[in-house]
Amino acid sequence: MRRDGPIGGASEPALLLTPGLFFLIVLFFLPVGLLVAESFVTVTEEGERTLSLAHYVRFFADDYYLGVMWRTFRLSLIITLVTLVLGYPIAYIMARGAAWVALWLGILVIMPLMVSVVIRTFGWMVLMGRGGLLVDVAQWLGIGGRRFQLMRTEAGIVIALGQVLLPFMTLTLYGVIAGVDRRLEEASRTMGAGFFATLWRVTVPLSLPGIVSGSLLVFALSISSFITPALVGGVRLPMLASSIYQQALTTMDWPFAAAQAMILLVAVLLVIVPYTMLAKTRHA
Amino acid sequence: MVAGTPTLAKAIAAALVAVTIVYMLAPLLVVIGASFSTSSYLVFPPEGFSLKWYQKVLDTPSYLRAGWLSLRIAVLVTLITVTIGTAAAIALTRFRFPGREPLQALFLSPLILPAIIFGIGMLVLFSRYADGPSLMALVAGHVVITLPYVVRTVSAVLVGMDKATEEAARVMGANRWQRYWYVVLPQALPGIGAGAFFAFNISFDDAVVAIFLRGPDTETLPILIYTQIEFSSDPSVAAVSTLMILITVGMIVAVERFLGLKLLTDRRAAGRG
Amino acid sequence: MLPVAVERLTKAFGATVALDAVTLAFAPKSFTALLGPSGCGKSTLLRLIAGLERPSGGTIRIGDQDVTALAPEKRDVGMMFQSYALFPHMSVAENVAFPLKMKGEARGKIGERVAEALALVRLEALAARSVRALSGGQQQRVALARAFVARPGVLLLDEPLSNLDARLREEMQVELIELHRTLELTTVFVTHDQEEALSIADTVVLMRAGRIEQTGAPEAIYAAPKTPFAADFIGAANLLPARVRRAGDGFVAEVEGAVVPVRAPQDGREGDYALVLRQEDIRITDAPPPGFASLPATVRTRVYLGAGARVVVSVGARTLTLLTNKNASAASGAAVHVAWDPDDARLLHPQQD
Ligand SMILES: Nc1ncnc2c1ncn2[C@@H]1O[C@H](COP(=O)(O)OP(=O)(O)O)[C@@H](O)[C@H]1O
Ligand SMILES: [Mg+2]
Repeated sequence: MRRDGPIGGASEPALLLTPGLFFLIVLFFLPVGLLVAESFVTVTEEGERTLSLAHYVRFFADDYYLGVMWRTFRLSLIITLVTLVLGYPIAYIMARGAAWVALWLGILVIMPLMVSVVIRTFGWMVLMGRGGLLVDVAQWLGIGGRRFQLMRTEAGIVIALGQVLLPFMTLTLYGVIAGVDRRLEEASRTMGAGFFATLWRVTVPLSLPGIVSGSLLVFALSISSFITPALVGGVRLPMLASSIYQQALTTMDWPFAAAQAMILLVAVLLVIVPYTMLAKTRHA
Repeated sequence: MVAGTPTLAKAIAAALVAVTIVYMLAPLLVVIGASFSTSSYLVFPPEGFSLKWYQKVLDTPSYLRAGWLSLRIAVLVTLITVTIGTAAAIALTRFRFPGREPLQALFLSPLILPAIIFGIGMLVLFSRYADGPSLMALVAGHVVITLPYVVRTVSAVLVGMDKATEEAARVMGANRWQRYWYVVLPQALPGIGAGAFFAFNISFDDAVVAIFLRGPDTETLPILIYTQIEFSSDPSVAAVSTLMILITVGMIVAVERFLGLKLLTDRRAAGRG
Repeated sequence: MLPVAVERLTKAFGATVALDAVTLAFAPKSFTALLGPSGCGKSTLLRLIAGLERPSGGTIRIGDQDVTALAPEKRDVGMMFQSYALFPHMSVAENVAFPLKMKGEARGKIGERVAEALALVRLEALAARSVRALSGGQQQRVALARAFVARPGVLLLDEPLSNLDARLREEMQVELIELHRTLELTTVFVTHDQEEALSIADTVVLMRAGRIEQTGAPEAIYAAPKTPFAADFIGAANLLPARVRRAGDGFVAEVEGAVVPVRAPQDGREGDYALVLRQEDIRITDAPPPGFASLPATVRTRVYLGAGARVVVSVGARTLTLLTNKNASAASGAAVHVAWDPDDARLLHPQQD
């Protein structure tokens, strides 16, 4: 790319970036920084604010919070697997099927993504509550007893959050599978491998970066999800985000909420950093 | 699919597609269906057919107030974000300067931070250093979370723009403002449009940041719906949700009509939930 | 139709010196071709004149004004880009109207001038069309019309024809000549195609690695290349290493183990030279006419060209390419003699690359 001509000062990009930087610094990094600071603050009996690790110690020493964390990671792992199993075939069909199939599946995947999570969760609540259609079907199939329901269960969280996050998995996989050279699959077929053998031995290994990326993304989104787990799981089955919400707005214990937020942030970064690096190598 | 895809694979594919369609659409169809029920409780399939819950929405001041508020916030957020996001995207793509790449990453960084963490951070900031959560705080919060989308969609279009068109305009006598007005912005328009769609949609739908900045005058529609369904209510909440779905579908159709869906299915454009 | 002059104009991109102290003058109404291999600095020179690059040294004058520090939008220049750089969001007419609009011309006048320019490039019928809906040749003509419509003091064309197929290209060459005759704009035209340069321009500037190799009228530069590079690039000539010495009244040269008569070198000195032979000046013969130089050769390939044939022969370790009339018999593998009139051969000092 060429530089600007004789005239065209360095002040121009600076000017263009200033409003955005103002928002990012004052309204993004400042609140997040405050939160970091808050998480290390303890108020002594004399009302003095001192630095300490007390909130982190409290979190990791309490079985309840460890349980919340364990539930968060466990359910997120299950959700990641569910979206992978459902998302891969759909992404494959989108990538290898006719153009109109890809278009309509694309719309199908995108459309729900654009509807508020609150509304999507609401739909699941109607389906999974007592007397809900999904509960009726389950009972008809012989699953669960008379008082069976899916609301306030981990299964319910997995079903609802899985639907919320499936588009991210599908779109990530689609991008990678579409980039797998189709001739490699054809070559495999000419060498005597059947359709399924080719899928398993050629396509899946070649789309491994997409599988890893999609899984990291869905896992990160899942552990930080708030609306769906809070509404479906309720107060008795909190995941990390609902626990943070509880501390921040019900108990009003901001430092402890901040400490939990930092723990969540570290977990998200541990997953998102490799995701970003993977995405970068893929685009390079 | 490759010629010679076995029938078994085709059958499996068809079944999977059917299951996915049901799974993806179920919650939306349920909400839409339940809004037409004659029953006074939420049920799917709906019992009978009536529009009375829509009438009730129109007769309920809290719905109207929340809807009007959400709309105004979303429009304001879209205008602000599109303006500053487009300016940033222009700086980040059309100029070379030291620190450009870190700045690009910086402008996308709100995508990485979970909204819940951002929400509580904003709550702490505005409670400590202002008079508590306010409408302006909510607008500012939405600007921050939608900014990366606009920067990304506009950058994507500008990167693909032939830089020589600007040089050509320059040689033909166009000064800086004329180059922006006649050459750069018109070519960036598809990206600006897609960015505006994301900004409006995310702001209009957000409940996470809004729940932390909730106050008497920041009760947005998603927050109102959230509170209603938390303590299960009558089908009027399904009716108002259906109206929101309708607005979303309408916007998708508009985007498809004017910009093409590719801008939305672009995996890089879709962000987080 | 202003004169343009650059003096000791230099442009460095980091360690690459794209243009090295070039001094050149373009007369008013002249039609100059900047010719040279890819990467020799032609576009850089053009962009410096337009103001799109900041020179590392030297001056640029357009008319009687020193424009070295002047912004491109304030120079009286029209430019056509190799990529055409049409505005994709505008129609054909809007594209062509752009420079007039920037000049603040009245609306009625703009309409008139646009119509006139589109007529000159024969695109009247497509005025309302989006430029995205045009073929490559049509886009090229829109770009051309847009460059000259405001009658700039200088018209700069960067490889205007290189994206066209051969037939369209020949057609456009004729149109460019006619356009130049009609408009009489000072025109500088970049190309890496020597045939194109020779057939359109009235002055050819041959460039090599950021410097000017030779300047002159097409006939002059073709007839009297000053360096082996010029001879090779402009005439696709054959170059043979030759050791020249005095013999009696005249000179002879040792070429591939044989001794042939040559004319006296310009400075009259013995030594190592490059013997330059044009393709059309060499003939295949069994009986070289008296006074001709001749070497034994083996025919390698013969390419039929319709009017004649291009024949590649080996002479010792070298290969020569020559043009013959279609009757010349030259079967592959045949042992023949190649001969030329020593008046047609030139001796040039060898050059480092
Ligand atoms: N913007 C630039 N940055 C770095 N090097 C450049 C730039 N523009 C041109 N060059 C270098 O300068 C030399 C001349 O380039 P150019 O003028 O484009 O050649 P031409 O048009 O004769 O093919 C080349 O070596 C090219 O790589
Ligand atoms: Mg060039």
